[in-house]
Amino acid sequence: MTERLGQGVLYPGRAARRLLSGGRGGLRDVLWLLGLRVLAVETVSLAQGFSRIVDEGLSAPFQALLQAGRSVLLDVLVVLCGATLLSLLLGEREARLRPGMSLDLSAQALLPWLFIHVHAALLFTLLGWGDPPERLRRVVQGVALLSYAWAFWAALRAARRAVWYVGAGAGARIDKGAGTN
Amino acid sequence: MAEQREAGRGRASIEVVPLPGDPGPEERSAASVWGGRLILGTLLTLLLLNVLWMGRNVDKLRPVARGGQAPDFSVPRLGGGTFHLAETRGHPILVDFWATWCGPCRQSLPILDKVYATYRGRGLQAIAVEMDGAASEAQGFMQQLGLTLPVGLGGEAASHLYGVSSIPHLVLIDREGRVRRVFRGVHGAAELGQAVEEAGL
Repeated sequence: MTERLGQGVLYPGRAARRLLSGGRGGLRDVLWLLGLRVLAVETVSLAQGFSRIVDEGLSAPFQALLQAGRSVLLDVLVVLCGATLLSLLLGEREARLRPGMSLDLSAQALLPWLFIHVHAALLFTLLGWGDPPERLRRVVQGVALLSYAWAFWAALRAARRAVWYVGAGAGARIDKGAGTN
Repeated sequence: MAEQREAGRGRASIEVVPLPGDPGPEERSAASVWGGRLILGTLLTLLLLNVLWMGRNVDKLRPVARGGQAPDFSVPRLGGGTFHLAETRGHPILVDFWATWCGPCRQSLPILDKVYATYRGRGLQAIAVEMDGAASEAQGFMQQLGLTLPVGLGGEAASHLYGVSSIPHLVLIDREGRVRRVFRGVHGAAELGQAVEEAGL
């Protein structure tokens, strides 16, 4: 999994081709990472929620979990919107991919985004910024969005090549500039 | 080199050929491995830092109980300046945690504003701490409801100190800086007024 995560961050095109070739990863890896991110970033609020279980019952940790979940809501929305966009751009040929591939590709494209957010969170923590300046947060958000766009574009290219040449005949090859054989 | 995948009955197979530079099936890219280790390592480091912080600040994790000392905090004020809770010692104060996206806050804030206006002359202080810190949105919200209550911004850190799990969340602090009452949700002006009277004006 470590290598898959690193490949998704550094070489999104390769990661997409690996996924399209039947490799593991995609949504499952990202879900693990999001869970770990929630735990790492919302540790304090989760601990506070669970510490109130004696006085307030199960509602306190439940509220804490909901609030912690809010921190990854945007990530989930980006993945869903990306998967929808990928489906629309691939059109009917998307049916040639295995079910759920668009979601896996979109989720995998989120890895650079997560990489930036996680390292920004660590930097803010080390600097003692409980509430970083709004402008800085927007810069981080903008850079993360650009990184997602870059990875999404790589995934889209790989998927288009994969579906476009299917049915071109036995031994159809999808490689850069080679066309179909 | 080519990998063939049978995508299911009735679907054509997809042959995705690795491009020049792609690692082979048995080859692991060192950069990818280190990249993955970096992201996991960062997350674990964050978790460790938070756990260490919790270990050193156990008192701040405990919910603020009635009768307990109210944790001190400072937030920027809407309109300029900074609010420091410590500077209100000697006066009872109502601290309300809210957000512009909170529906029940549209009911609770006017009530708080009314109570503040009623008892302000007798020494009551109040601060409505907006959680998300968006000044323009907070300004618009207050103007829309016609409220004159002092507003603080970016109160998420302070909300952790007070164990805010849902909003609106109102804390009544007495002259000595102790938490007298905690009101969760919307409460009537009469109930708040009575609590303020009992807190000692």
